[in-house]
Amino acid sequence: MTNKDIQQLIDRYLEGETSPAEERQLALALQQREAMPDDWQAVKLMLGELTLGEAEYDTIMSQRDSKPSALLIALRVISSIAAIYLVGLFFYLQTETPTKPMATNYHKVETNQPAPQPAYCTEGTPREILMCYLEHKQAQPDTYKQLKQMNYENQ
Amino acid sequence: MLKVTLNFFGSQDDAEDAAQEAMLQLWHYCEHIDAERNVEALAVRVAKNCCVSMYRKQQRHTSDVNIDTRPLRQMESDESPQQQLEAKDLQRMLTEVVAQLKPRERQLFEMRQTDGLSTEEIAKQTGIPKASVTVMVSTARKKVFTELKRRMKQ
Repeated sequence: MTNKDIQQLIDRYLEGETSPAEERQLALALQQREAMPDDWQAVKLMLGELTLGEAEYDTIMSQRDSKPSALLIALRVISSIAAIYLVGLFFYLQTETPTKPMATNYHKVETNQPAPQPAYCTEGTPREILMCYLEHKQAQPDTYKQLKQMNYENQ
Repeated sequence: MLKVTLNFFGSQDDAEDAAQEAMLQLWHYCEHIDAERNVEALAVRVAKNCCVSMYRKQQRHTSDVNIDTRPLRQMESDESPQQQLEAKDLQRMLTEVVAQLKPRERQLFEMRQTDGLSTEEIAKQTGIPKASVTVMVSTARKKVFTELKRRMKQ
């Protein structure tokens, strides 16, 4: 606040036209001056300690609102990084097919067989599917052993 | 008062200490309090004042300062015993000058200076028209201002 602004506020103060907020502003401006004329000294005295205290209270509170603590900033940064990491991980898992390694192994197993196996045991009632599965298991015990072992190794 | 201090400190212990100090400070203003005055407004101002005083003390004991309080700390540390004595003399002078005002002028002057009320609030509380409040406050302030200047030059 310039000297001119202060003088204008003082004139309005003496006319009783200033608001409490302007008076607090004036008290703070006068407090920050080291040397001042008697007129200003008198007004500073008239404004009183309570006005100055209230002005300082408001200043501290506004500084707190506009300036978050270092701890708060650190927490915000950490939580932002964690959120980005989690989102990235989610999309990575979405693109990664879980059956891919199994499919490769299946392929290897199938290469040992004389002819490619068509899809089976996928249609019919649950009982028919179960019966079909058991028939295939009895017919090709080695394949199922290998599958079981692969499943165990994957776990 | 506790609400104000709690809002400032955030900690229950500090807030209670400040509120207790504010109650003691408020006691010094008891002679200014009457039925027409807004005690709540005064109590809030005193509580805010106590918060700032306690905050300054805490800042002097801690090096971890997040908020720029240089003007406050400068003001505290630079005040020599002689300056404190001068400040007390000036305060006494103001009290004497205000005591010389007419009762109504004094009341309105203190409602603005001590309670921190606006012209509208004073008009509402006292029933005096707003324009008259402005004129009376202005008259009181000019009287105090002139007398203070005269005494300071002596």
